[in-house]
Amino acid sequence: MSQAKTAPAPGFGQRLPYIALFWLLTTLLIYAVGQQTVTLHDQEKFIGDFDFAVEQVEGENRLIFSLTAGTFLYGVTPEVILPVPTGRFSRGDENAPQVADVLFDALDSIREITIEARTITVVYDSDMEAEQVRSRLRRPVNNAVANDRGTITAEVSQAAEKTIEFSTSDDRFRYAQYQPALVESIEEYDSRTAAEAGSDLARFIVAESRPVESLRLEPTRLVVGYAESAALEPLARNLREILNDFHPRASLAPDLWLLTAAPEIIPPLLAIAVEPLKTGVPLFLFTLLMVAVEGGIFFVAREGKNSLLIHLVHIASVFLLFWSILGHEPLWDAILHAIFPTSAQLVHPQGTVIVFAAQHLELVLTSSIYIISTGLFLGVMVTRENFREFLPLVNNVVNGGQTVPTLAIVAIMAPIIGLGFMPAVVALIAYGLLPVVRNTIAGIESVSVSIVDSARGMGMTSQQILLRTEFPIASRIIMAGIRTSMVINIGTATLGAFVGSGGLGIPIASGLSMTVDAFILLGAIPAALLAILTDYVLGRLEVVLTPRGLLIET
Amino acid sequence: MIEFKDVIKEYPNGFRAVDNLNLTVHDGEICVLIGPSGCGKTTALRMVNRLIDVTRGEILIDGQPNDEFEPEILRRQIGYAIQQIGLLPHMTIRDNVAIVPRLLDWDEDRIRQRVDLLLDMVGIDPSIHGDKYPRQLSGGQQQRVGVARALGADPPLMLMDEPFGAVDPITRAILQEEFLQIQQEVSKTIIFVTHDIDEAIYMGDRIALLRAGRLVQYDSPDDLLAKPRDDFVREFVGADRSLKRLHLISVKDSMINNVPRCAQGASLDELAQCMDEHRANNVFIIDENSGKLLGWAERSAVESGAAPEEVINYAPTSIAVAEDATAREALSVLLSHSFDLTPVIDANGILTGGVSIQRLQDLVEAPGIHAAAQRERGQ
Repeated sequence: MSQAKTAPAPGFGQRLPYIALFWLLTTLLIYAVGQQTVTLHDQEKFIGDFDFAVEQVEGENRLIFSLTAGTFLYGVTPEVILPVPTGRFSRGDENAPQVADVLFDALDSIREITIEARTITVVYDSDMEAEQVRSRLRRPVNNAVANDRGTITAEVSQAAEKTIEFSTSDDRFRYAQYQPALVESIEEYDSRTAAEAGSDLARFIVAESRPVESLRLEPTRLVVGYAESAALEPLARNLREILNDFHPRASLAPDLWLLTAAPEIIPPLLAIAVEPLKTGVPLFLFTLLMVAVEGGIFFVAREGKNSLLIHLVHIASVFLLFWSILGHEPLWDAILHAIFPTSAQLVHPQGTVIVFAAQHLELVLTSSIYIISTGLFLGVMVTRENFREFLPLVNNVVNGGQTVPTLAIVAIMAPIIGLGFMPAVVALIAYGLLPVVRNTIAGIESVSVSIVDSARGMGMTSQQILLRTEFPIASRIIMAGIRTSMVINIGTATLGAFVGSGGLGIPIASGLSMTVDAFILLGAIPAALLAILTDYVLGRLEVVLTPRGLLIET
Repeated sequence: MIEFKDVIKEYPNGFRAVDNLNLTVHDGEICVLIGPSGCGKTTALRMVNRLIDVTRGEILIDGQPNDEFEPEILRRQIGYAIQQIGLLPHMTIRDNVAIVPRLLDWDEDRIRQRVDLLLDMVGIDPSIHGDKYPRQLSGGQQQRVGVARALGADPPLMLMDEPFGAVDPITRAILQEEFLQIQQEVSKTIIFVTHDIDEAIYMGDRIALLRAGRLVQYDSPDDLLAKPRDDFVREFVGADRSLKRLHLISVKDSMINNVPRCAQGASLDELAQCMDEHRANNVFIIDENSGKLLGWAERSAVESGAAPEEVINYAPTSIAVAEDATAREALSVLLSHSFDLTPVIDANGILTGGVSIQRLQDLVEAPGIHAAAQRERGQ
């Protein structure tokens, strides 16, 4: 007799007060940290402080701040596109532009480079085949100029010997230059009211400085119109402080970074829904809300009902919290600085952690959707009476997929499909199929013959047997397979960086090649956290989706 | 009514699991299919609801060939219970019993009523166990639920494949008895597979003995025991078939009313005289007013001249059998005491008669009485 064991599945209801406590502590922590300000340590991504030259416009109540040094707006690419200076340059010229320098470095035998608006002519001395020189110089030129407005062609000159000519379809050659900037584009506000409705920086300035009456924000200049009564000297000093307060330091009380830091990863439809939220929900308010939600759930579901909805709310909120923290670049800067105090580079220059993580998640989710659907289909198919003969075949193929190293699959796929997202997805599918297929088969075969027989004997159709009998009973084993597959997948997806799929593999790969240890951790820590979170989330789902009757031990 | 007509099941390798089976099961009857392992009894059963297809011949259900129905539709009209029970572990007891009614799209109120009624009928309290899961019940309880589930949509016909096979003998006996009582109420047409000849004799209205796919004998339990057709049947029903026949007879049918009895307080002489009259070696002592059995006295003790109080042994229940027990139990009591006659008492403990070895012998030798006896017992 096992009648006494009527205890429900792991009592989520009883644990709720602890979960509310968890949110409360998180709230306090985030709030406390939010009161701090931190200095950003990465010397390339968050350089120095602003410095300005201030001048007053004669006869007008106007100050012009010109940026002479400093950082750029967080998250904005610090580039300006400028025309390449023209002229004739030989090796060692002081005023040779960057493009010329690059070419001189690429080939020792270059004698002279002539830059015109749309052509660059290179004259060299060596006995090398002209074709070889051309292909050797092609890449450096492409790298040195900003060619996104036109295509660049390289030809061996017909007119002169030992001469290569590059030309662009754009109206002239341009290059990108690093340039610290206050703002991305010009903003102009002719009154305080207009500025109060403007960008973050504009609002910040008018809030902090009362005499300001009009504003013009340019990438490298700030033009301030002020009230006649204002004392000039204190105003200039004040504005300098304001600009420095706004830019180089970041508060650790972030908004919901999911919504603000990486808007590009939010699907368009969802974006409309979250638009009102985007203007700042401080994270501690969110966690405070969760205290109320968990408390409310506890009050409503004291009986310990294992409702799927409660779990989904819980899972979604933990994910939002995790994601918000993941997207907090200053936090990563601080963590990595603590681990590598002497490293000049800490956070990756090509993107933020959350963008990498979003790409990573996209990679994992896309491949997992294929894995789960294919895996379930195969698993169900080979356990059907008619297709049972394919069982060994499917087993072998699926086993094979996991035996071949993922990097090898990636390498094989690259020439066939090309570089990018899809080859990585294909490799991940091949690698992740095994646990799902094997557990689906094992789960369905764990359903005893007598249960299927009695279900059939009662008049269930084979579809009803599958959906009402085999799947529910096998659900736990199948979910375990999906969980294993997805967790492995997160680790494996870092290899996708080698074929340009994006993701957390990018900082790892570039950290390895550039020997910047901080980059490696920048990819590895979020990947590990993501794997742990996924395991936790799927573990919860596994418990919820397993029918209660199966959780009873006999 | 179910009719097997020249039914053959032949597998692709040429093996005939069922060979030319002709069998008719009448309405309201329990037909037991029995035979050694591999005799085709389960195959025959499973062909009725088309879990296995007939190779040749046909099975008629109320005159209609069963292959005129879609298999699923057919199965929903036929109760099905198996030895491994096959309760769905992820569904509650109520949901398990409700499976077929749900497949038939009954409305929920009706299902609820039906399920609770059935659970009550099989002795499972729906208010206590209804929302439990199968794994929370004992084996015996699960078997009961299995039977309730087979009765779910009130099918006229039931197929039961060793439905009480997975429990201990005591529980099985209880379940068998209770099931017969249920059958009195619901009066289903039942095909019942077992390999246990005792169960077959106890449960069956008719027993079909199969061997290698062929029907060897199809008779009432009594005739099967009394007139085995050949050596195979004789061997199968066992050397103890006489004992088994006794199983079919109740004590009430086999007892004689005239037993040596004396009221409590009778003298030694009166006791001796009573024994002499009945040519017996012992005498039963009863309460003068109520007629209740109190004990007995042995001839040797009476003749030894001891005081009457010392002569009498007071232990009425250990020596007596109840009226509704089987003759076999009476024999068992006879063998364990040195009485010529085992006293029989009714539900109130009143001595109503006795059973002697001689009487039992007569019964076993004379065919015919058993069927009547069993029918009487069944009602």
